[in-house]
Amino acid sequence: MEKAERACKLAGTGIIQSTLLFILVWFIKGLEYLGSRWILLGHFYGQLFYSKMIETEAKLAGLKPGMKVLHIGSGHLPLTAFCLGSWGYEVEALDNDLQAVSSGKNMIESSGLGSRIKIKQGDGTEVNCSDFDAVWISLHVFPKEEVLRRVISTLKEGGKVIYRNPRGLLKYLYPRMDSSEDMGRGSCQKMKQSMGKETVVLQKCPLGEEENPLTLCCLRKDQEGIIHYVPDNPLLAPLGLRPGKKVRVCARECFGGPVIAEVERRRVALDRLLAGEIIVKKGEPGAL
Amino acid sequence: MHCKETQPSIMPDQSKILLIGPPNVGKSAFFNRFTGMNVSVANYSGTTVDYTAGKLDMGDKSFLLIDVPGTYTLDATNEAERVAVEMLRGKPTGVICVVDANNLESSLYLLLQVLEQGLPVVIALNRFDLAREKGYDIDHARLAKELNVPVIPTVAVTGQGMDRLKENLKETIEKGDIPSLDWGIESDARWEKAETLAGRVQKIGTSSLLTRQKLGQWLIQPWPGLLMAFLVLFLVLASVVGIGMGLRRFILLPLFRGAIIPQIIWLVEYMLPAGLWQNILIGEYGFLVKGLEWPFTLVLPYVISFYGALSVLEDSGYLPRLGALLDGLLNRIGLQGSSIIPLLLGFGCGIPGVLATRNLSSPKERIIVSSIICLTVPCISQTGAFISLLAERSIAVFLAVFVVAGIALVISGLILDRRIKGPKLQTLMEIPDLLVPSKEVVFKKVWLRVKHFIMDGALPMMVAVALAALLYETGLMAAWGRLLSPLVTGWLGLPEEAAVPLVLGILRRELTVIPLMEMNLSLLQLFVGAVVALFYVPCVAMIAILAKEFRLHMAFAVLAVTTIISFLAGGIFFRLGSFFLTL
Repeated sequence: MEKAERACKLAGTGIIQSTLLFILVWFIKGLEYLGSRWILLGHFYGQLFYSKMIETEAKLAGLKPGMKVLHIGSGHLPLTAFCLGSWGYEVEALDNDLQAVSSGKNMIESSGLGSRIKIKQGDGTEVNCSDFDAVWISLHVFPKEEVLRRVISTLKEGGKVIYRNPRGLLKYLYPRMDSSEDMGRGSCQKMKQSMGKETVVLQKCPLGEEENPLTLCCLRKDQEGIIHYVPDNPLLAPLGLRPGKKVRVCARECFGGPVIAEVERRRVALDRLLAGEIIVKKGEPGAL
Repeated sequence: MHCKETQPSIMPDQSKILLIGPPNVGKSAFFNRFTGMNVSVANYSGTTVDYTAGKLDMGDKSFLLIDVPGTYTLDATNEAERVAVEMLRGKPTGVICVVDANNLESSLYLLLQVLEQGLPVVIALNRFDLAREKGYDIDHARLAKELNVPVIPTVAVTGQGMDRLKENLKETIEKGDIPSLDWGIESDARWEKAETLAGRVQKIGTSSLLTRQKLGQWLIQPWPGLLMAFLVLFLVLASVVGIGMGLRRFILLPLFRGAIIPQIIWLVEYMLPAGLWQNILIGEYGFLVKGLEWPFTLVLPYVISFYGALSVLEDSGYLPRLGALLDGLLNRIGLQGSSIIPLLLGFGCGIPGVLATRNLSSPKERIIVSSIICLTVPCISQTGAFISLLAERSIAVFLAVFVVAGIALVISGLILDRRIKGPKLQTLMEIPDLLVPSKEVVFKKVWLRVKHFIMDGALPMMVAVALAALLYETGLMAAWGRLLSPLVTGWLGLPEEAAVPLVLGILRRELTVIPLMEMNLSLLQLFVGAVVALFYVPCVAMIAILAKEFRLHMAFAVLAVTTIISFLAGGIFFRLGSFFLTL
């Protein structure tokens, strides 16, 4: 319950919000605790809410079985760790609640994945991620922004961070983090998930900090940049999007629509996910 | 879109010349100039969805000119590129490589790949006029010297440079000149070469098209772009309906009802005695009366007004902008911005709509768009009939039918997106420059559509009406009506005669609507009839195209689903309507 109490303090924008969040977290924790006791219920819960989401997240982040993954905030029912472990990843899961760690361990032991999944007690704000290829941060983790900063600062270059933002009704309860752009340390991709969640995948960019790398998706309207890296897509180069070219964002469409980029007076509409994979170095905003 | 095409493989003996270039560079305009044929052209990528071949006469020899679908590279990453690569390997006599003067560098990459094939090549540096206006000064003589291949600046739309191109092509083929290569054939080396070449031959000055570029830029911003999109679509709808009604009321109706049909009636009455045959020709469903009046005064006006508006939209380069603006919304029903083009074409006729889905990036999207076109998008012939049937009685009912169509479009998109498995691909499309559509091209397109409608639309319609006349006069129709009466009268609340359009509708979609006009229906009955017609089976030609483009079972599935939905929706609306009317 310690996490929920901290949540209330930090969310602190109103008594109603804190109360609702407290009830929700309490309810979910209760549900997950039951799930860790009755393994069948746990699996059903995992299939319903997690399996598909984690699969798409791993795909979006470009991860492959065998990679080393850290999960922060695994809780009573460590489903993210469980799914990843069962698909062949080397998983370490972390929670600051000792009770959650012990019920999590029970669940993993009884499903026979003990060799691949290690569950430990620890705090996300003090973690060292330098050994991992990717780090998952749960929606319920507080203080999330601080944890995220810690993870990014200790992660190796090219490593991925996957965290979940609330959307829809949930965003009135949990704080959203749209600070990935300020972190200024890599590319950022977003994807909507069911049950009011949104996945954000950050990649710590293999560049020095002084060069201030961004992605095309992060550029504001009329902001210019120099393309540094483009993903493997056979159409990008012929449309003018090649490393070294000056690019300008001339519009960002509504409803999550594409980013319109201009390279050498040629305009191209790019999906935001694709634009999120194109790394640019910052340039000065240009006139029309 | 899909023109009279001859399969090049059928004529292996004839020497072939390929027309290759990036998408939306004007290859089809060259093709039309050279062969005198009329394949469809527009200002967006992927107008040519299949290769088309035509005869090109040069001196005393004749060649087969093949319009290859546009490709950005020859890396064979999609269907169009594979077709192009295969054709280059098929030992053509020569190649016309169309280079876009507005996007020199990436066109040069494709050109280098083409030159690597070791074939006689001439280069058409097309859209030279626009490039000059945009401030690009290209030294084509230097480019020719650097590559040792003839380079001719051209403007295919106006025909500028065509004769010189033909002369050079003839010379090159006769000499059998094969270009020499001095670059590496890896992708990076090629890009480097393309970049150096472009840097050497091209000077970039200031553009004299600032106003148009600003307008193009303005139209793609969410604000005011979305408002403008709404206005443009409203304007298109208003001009299709308004111009169509005007043409009908003031030109075609007086012409047919006042001049042509009375003459025919007079002639038939003079030649045939009253009786069965006279009735078949000029009676209730007389095929010389309704068979002329329906296609020419009900549908033709809207064919003219719709294709006029569509051609302006196509040639201006506005459609990709509309696609980009609506991409986010369309994504929610499993579509992409680029789906807007097949959907809009579907409002003209489903067949080009389904064919245009070949450009869509994934098979899943192709199936979704094609199904939506079959189920919820009325073709212009049917829309024309709706306008005549409904708009002249009650504009509210007419709009209600379109609201139903819109809701059905969204729902079917949502369901299909969830049911059909397949990867979701990311939007990536070029937004072309905004151009002023040429009057000549627009008129030509409308004229082609009218010709096409008369041959492929009006004639089958006359045959269908003749069939109806025969059934009506022999009493078979009444029997059919009685047979279907539980469904038509009991479930849909329509008169027994309304069973007739259900048969005719299989031949032509508009025939599910037009006969209802003669039945003195109430507003509710009109609405129910229109809803049934909207969802009812696509015409025979559409079914054939579905079976050809996809698989036979897709065609059957569409037939079954449309039939079920149309009767289900019709019955439900009838009950809802009756319920509200009794309140």
